[in-house]
Amino acid sequence: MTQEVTQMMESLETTDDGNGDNRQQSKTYAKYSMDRFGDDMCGLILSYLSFKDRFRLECVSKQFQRTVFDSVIDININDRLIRQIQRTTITQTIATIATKCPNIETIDLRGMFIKCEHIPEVLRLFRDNCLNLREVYCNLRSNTAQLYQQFGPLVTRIECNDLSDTVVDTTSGQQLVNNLKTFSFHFYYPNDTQLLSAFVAHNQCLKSVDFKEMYIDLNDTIPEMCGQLSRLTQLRELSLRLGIMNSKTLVANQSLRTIGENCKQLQRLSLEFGSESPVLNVEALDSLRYYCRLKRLHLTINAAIDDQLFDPLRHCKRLTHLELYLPRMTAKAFINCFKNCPRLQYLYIHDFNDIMGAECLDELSRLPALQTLIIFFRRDYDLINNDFSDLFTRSAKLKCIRLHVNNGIKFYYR
Amino acid sequence: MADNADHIDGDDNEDVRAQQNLIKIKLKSSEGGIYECGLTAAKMSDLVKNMVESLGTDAVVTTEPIILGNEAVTDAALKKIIEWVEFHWDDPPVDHDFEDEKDRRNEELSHWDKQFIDVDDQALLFDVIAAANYMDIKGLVEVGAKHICSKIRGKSCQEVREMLKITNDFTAEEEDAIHKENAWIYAKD
Repeated sequence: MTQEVTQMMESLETTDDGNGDNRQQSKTYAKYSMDRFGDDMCGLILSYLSFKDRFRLECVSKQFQRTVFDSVIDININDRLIRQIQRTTITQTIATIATKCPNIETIDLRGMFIKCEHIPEVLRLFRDNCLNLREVYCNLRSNTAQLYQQFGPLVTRIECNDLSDTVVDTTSGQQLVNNLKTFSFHFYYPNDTQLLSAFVAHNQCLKSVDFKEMYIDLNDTIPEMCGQLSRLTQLRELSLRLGIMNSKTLVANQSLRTIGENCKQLQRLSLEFGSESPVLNVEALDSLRYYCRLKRLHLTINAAIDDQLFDPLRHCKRLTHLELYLPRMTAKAFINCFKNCPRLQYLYIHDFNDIMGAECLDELSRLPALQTLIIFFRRDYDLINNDFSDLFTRSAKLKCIRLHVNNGIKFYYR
Repeated sequence: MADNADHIDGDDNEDVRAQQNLIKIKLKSSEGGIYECGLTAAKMSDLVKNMVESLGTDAVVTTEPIILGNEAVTDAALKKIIEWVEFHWDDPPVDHDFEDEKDRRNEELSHWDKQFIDVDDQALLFDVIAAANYMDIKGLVEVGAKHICSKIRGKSCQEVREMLKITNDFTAEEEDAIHKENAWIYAKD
């Protein structure tokens, strides 16, 4: 056995790191010079440059020129960029960019509002030059619907106002966007049910859905809507804002339960409840027992439900990330939270009521897996008089505390 | 109840990782220095991980140190690398179902990483990056690369050459041609 070990270790000594240039150059160039690196390493380092810095620094050296654009996989084309390019000629410049960055896979056009008329041309140039292009993100509005007709198969991510914007053939009223992976929209109306049903059928591979606002009374609409969403079995991430929930009990609970029971891949959930009734909120939260695979959870809750906040979380045994945005939360909320969230690594708290006193920190220090604690304080919170560094001595895994107040940030590290 | 039927597979895993990090293995730099490192932390290096897996944990713990033969793995660089993996071994893993990796690419370095990587000695900085690349510790290569990119952000080509000691192998004409091609970047919007 010992012999085997020795042999293997010797062979490692002569194993190159896979980059022939590297060894040769490291002998020729000074160790403090970036010239020592081969193209692979150089390209890897430069892959963290901003898009514009790449063009600015292309002529540092021939090695920079060879490697600086290789790692451009995503590109963000927005109004600002187009305005800047317009000083020269759009077609020529976009063509140059597309030729220099042949590895682009994703184009994000969500920042194109005013310059929409350029979208087809821009997309055509990239499609012709970047053979790996396969994802386009865009806003869908009446003036971009025709873009979808042309480039539909490439579009994987859409943002829009109304669900009806996803009907891209307005004359027949029939063609819908399809095969999306990510979708977010603002307003949902009771009479969208049928459309949602068709949309879900056309977009079975959706992984992420974000329903931004729902102002209307949803008691009658929620069950149907959640029933449709529960057909998206590939869903990994869901964000729901449920506006007014009034006296009808268990509606939200049962609706959310349907999603939890059917969307087995769901790992990240963001919930916002508009109701101020503690009973209704507690009930709705109780549906979390059906989301046992959840890893990340964001909660925005307007009711005072302190002592019942953490209880339903005990069912989410894999929960590692929790974000709390609760205007009425008090220090009591955290009592025994460690029992319900034994694997929590990341905790974000928006502290509306200055609850981060000794009692509260004591409870937080008992979270056995907590690594990162982030707290947003009210404007006038006095950071100087509170010492958080003491937490490190009591909390086994805690690495970092970040406190935000009045645009200032204070860090603590172990 | 639905969730009771669902087995939680990660629980043991985390405990095992913590347990294993109490086991110390020895790493030997190309200059001959031998340093101890927790097993789980050391396995953040795919190179070390593969060796441990093919040799078996017992062999690695009881026999000679793992030799890291690449000349970038100096004593100083290896000490830095061990410091980094010992801090980061229990980081939440990347979830491939999401764009965590892409998000992290665009994120600024954490305060700890910034202080860790901000070393005055540029030869050491480059050694750490090259050694991390050789040892296949992607997270640390990223920290080094981000640090360099943040230093040269918004700088002129000449400033970058001076800072990173890069030889300019372009002729003035070639440089002008590239400038012209990229003229749009200098336009005010």
